[in-house]
Amino acid sequence: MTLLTLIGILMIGGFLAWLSARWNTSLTRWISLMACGINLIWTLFIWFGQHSVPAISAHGQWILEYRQPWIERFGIQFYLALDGLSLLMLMLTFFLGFISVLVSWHQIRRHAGFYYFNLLWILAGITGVFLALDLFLFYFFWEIMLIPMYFLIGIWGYEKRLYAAYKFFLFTQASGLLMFLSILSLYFIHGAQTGVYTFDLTELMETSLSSSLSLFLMAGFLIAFLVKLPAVPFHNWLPDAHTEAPTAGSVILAGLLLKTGAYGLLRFVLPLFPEAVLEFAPWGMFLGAISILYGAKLAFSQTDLKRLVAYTSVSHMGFVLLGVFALNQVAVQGVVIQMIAHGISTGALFILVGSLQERVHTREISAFGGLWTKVPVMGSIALIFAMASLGLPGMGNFIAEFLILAGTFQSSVFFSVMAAVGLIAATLYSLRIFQQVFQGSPSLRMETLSDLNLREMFILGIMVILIFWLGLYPRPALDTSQKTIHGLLQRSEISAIPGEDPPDHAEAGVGIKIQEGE
Amino acid sequence: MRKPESVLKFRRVNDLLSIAPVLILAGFSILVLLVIAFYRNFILSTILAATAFILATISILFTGKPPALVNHILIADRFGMFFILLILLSGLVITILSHSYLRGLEKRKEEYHVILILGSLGGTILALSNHFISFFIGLELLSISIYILISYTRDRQDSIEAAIKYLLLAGVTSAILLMGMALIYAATGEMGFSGIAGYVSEAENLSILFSAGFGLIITGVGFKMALVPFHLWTPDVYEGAPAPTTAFIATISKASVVVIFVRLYLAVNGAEQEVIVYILSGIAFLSMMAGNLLALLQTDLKRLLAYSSIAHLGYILVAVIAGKDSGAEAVTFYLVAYVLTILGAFGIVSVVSDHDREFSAIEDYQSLFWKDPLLATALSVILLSLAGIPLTVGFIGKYYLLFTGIENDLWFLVITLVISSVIGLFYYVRVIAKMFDPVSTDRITPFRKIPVGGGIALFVITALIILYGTYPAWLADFIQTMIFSGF
Repeated sequence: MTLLTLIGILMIGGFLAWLSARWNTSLTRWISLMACGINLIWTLFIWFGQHSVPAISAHGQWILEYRQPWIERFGIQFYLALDGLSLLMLMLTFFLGFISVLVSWHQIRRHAGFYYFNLLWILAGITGVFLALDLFLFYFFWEIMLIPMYFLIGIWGYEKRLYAAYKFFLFTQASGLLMFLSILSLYFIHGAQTGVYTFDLTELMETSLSSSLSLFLMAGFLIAFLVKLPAVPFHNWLPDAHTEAPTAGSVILAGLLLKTGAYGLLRFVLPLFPEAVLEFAPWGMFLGAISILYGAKLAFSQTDLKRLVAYTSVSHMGFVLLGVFALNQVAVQGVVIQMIAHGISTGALFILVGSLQERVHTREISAFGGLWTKVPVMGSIALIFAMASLGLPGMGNFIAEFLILAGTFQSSVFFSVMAAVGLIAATLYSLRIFQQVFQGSPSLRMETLSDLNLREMFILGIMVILIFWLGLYPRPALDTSQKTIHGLLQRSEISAIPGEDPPDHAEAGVGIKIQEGE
Repeated sequence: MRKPESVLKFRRVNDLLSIAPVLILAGFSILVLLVIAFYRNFILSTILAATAFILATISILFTGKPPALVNHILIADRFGMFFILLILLSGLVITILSHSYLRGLEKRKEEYHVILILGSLGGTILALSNHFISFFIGLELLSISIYILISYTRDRQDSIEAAIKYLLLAGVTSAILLMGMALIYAATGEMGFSGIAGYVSEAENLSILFSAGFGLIITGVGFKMALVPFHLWTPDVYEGAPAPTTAFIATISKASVVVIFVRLYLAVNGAEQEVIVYILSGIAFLSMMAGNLLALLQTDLKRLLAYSSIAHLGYILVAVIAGKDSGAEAVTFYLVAYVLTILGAFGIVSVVSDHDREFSAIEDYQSLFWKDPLLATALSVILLSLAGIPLTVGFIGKYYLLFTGIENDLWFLVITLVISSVIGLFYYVRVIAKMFDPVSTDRITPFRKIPVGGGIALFVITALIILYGTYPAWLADFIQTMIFSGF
C-alpha cells in the first residue's frame, strides 16, 4: 500500500497543484514541494529502517510489495515491489523532483498550475517505472512519463521547443511500442508453455526461449532502453530535448528519464534473456564504449553550453551501458552509483546553465568569459561539478567510473581501455566548460551579474554535499543495491564470469556522515 | 452465434420482445412524425427522440438471454444486443448534440430527429441481421437516412455537395453489394448466414462464384466502413456534413456495418479461407498506412478525423481477420473505445459550432487550452485516446488488437499497426500542440457558449475514456462474460 501511496501522492498532488493555481500560484509551488518532500522523507525512512533488517532482497523477497489484480481478463496485475535498487532510484527520483520544484520556483511564471501538474505526473510515471514488476504495468507507466514531459518541453521550453518535443515523443513512443510487442510475445509464449497467461516478471523469467527467439524479443526491449539511455545510434533526440527543455525539465530528463533506460536493462533485460544477453554483451560493451567516446567528442565541439552538457550525458550513459554488459557484480554496482552520481552532477550543471541563462539570456559559450570574478560562488560550484563530471577522485562519478572500468576489465580488457580513453575526453570538455565560461577576459554585458541567491545556493549546496558523500563514503549506496544486483546477475546465471567478489568499497575510511538531504 | 437450430426456441410474443429495441425505434419514428404534423416544436422532438433512445435502451434488459431467431431474418443474441446498446447510446448523444447545433435553423429542423431515429433503426437491424434480406434492408435504411442527414443544412454548399457525393457512391456500392449477394445465392442457394455457414463447412473448396460474391460484398461493406480503396468519399463527406451527422456516420453507421461483417466473416469461417484473408489483409494494410499518412497533410479537424477513421477501421480489420471469438471480442472492445472517442471528438466540434458556421479548422483551436481549459483537456484526452496512449480507453483497445493479432500470428499486420500508429502520433500530437501553444494570438476564436446538454455529454464521454483506460476490467469482463459466454 505504501508503494501505491507514493505514486498516489504525486498524482493527487499534481491535480491539487493545478487546481490551486486558480487562486494562488505560491500555494501551487508549496503543494508540489510538499508532495516531493513527503515522498522523499518517506523513502528515507524506509531506507533507514532497512539498515536494521539485513536482508535487502534479491527477487522473491522484497522490502515492500503491493499486488492487486487489475485487468483479470488478461492476467494483468497492479504489481509493485521495492528492493534495494528501486529504493535507491526512488530516493534519487524524489530528491531530484524536490530540487526541480525549487529550481522552477521563480523561473516558471506562465501557467504555473499546469506546469507543476506535468512535473509531478512525470515523477509519478517514473516512480511507477521503478516499482512495476508486471510488464504491462511497466509499459503503462513508461508511457505515462511521456505525455507530461512532452508538454513540459513543448510549452515551457526555449526557441525550438516544439520540434524538440516532437522528436522526443516520437523516438520514445516508437521504441516503446516495439518493446510492447516483445512484451506481448513473451506473454503468449509463456502462456502457451505453462497455460498461465500473466505479465508477472517473476513468472515470465521462467519462460524457456530458443536462442534466436530470445535475441529477437530482447531486441524489442533493448531498442526501447537504448533510446531512452541513450546509446549512440539512438541518441539523436537527446540534445534537442535537453537543450530546449526548461531547467527543471533538463534536470528530470538527465537525472531520471535516462535512468529508466538503465534500470530497464538491469531489471528486465538481464533476468528475462540471460543467454541472449551473454551473446549480445560484446556488442553492448562496444556500443557503450562508442557512446563514451563519441558523446565526449560531440560535447567538446558544441558552442551551446546547454547542448554541451547534454552531450556529456551521452558519454556518461555510455559507461552505464558498458557496465551493464560487463555482466559482473563490480561493474553493475558501478552502474548504480553512476546513475545516482550522474543524476546529481549533470542535474547541477543544468541548474547552473539555467541560472546563467536566466541572468545573461544566452547559452553561447563564446558570449561568456571571465565570470569568476563576477560570480565567485557560482564559479566554485561550477568548478566542483565540472570536476565531478571529469571523474576527479573524491566525487561520486569517480567511484562509479572506477568500478565500471574495473569490472569491465575482467570481462574485456579492450573495451575497458577504450572507455578509459573516454575519461581523458571528459577532462577536455569539462575543463572547456570551466575555462570558457569562468576564466579568461570578461566579455560583454556581464557588468550587472548577480551571484547565486540563497535558494540556488541551498539547492546546489545539497547537491555538492551529496556528490562528495557519494565519492567519499559510497558504502551505504553500495550496500543497498548489492543484494539486488547479486540476485539479478545470479538469477540470470551469468555471474559465471570469474572475479565476483564483494565490491571493494573504495575510500571507505574517510566517512563524512551527513544525515540531511539524501 | 451459430447455435444449432434445435436450441433456438420459437415463441411468438417473445420473438417480439426479443427485438423490442428495434420495434421501439420504429414506433417512435412514426410517433415523432405524427407529433410534428400536429405541433412543431424542436424541444419536443428532441425530447421525444431522446425518450425513444432511452426506452429502447431499457428494453434491452427484457430481451432475454438465449439467442432468439426471429423469422430466420434477425438473430437477437447478446453480441447484437451489445452493439444495439452502443448504437442507442450514441444515438442519444447525437440527439443531444444536434439540438444545440440545429437550434438556430429557421425551419423544418424537427425532422432531423425522425431521420436520426430511422437511421439508428437501420443500424440496429444490421446489428441483429442474420440474413441477406435484413442485411440489405438495414443497410438501405441507414444509407438513405444518411443522405438526408448530410444535406440537412441545405443552405450550405458543401453540405449539399457531400450529400450528392455520398448518394452516388452509396448507390453504386449498394448495387455492387446486391450483385455479391446474388452471386453467393447462386453458389450456395442460401440467403441466411447459417445456411451459408452450412454450405461453407461442407464444401471442399469455395467456388469462384462464391469468392467473387464475397469480394463484392467486401466492396459494399468496405465502402461503408471507409476502407482503402473505397474511402474516397470520406474526407469530403466528413467535412461537408453537419457535425452531428458526421458523428452519426462515424459511429452508428460504421459500428453496425462492422457487426454485420463480423457475423458474415464468422459464418463463412473467413479466417480459414486464404483468398479472403489475403484480400482483407491488403485492405487493412492500405487503410492503416494511407489513412495515417494522408491525415498528416490535413489542416481541418474533421478531415483529419476522417483520415484517422480510415486508419482506425483498418486497425479493427486486423482483429476481424483474426476471426474466432477473441477476434470478435477485440473488435467489440475496440469499437466501444472508438465510438466513445470519436463521439467525443465530433461532439466537441458540434458544441462549438452551429448550422451556420462550423469551427473545424485546426487553426480555430489555436491556444484553446488557455481560453477554455476544460474543453481543451477533453479534446486532448480524446486525441490521446485515438493515438492509443495509456490512461485512455484507446490504449486498451489497441492492446486488444495487438493481443489478438499476435495470438493469431498476424505479424505483418501487427507490425503495420505499430508503425502506422507511430505515424498517427504525429498529427494527433500536432493538434494538441496547437491547443497548448502558449503564444496567445490576438485572433480570439469566437466559440459560442457551450450548451449544457452537450457539455454534460462531453464530460461523461471524457470521464468514461479515462475510466475505461485506467480500469478497463469492468468493460472487459462485461464484454467477455455477457456476450461471449453464449458463443
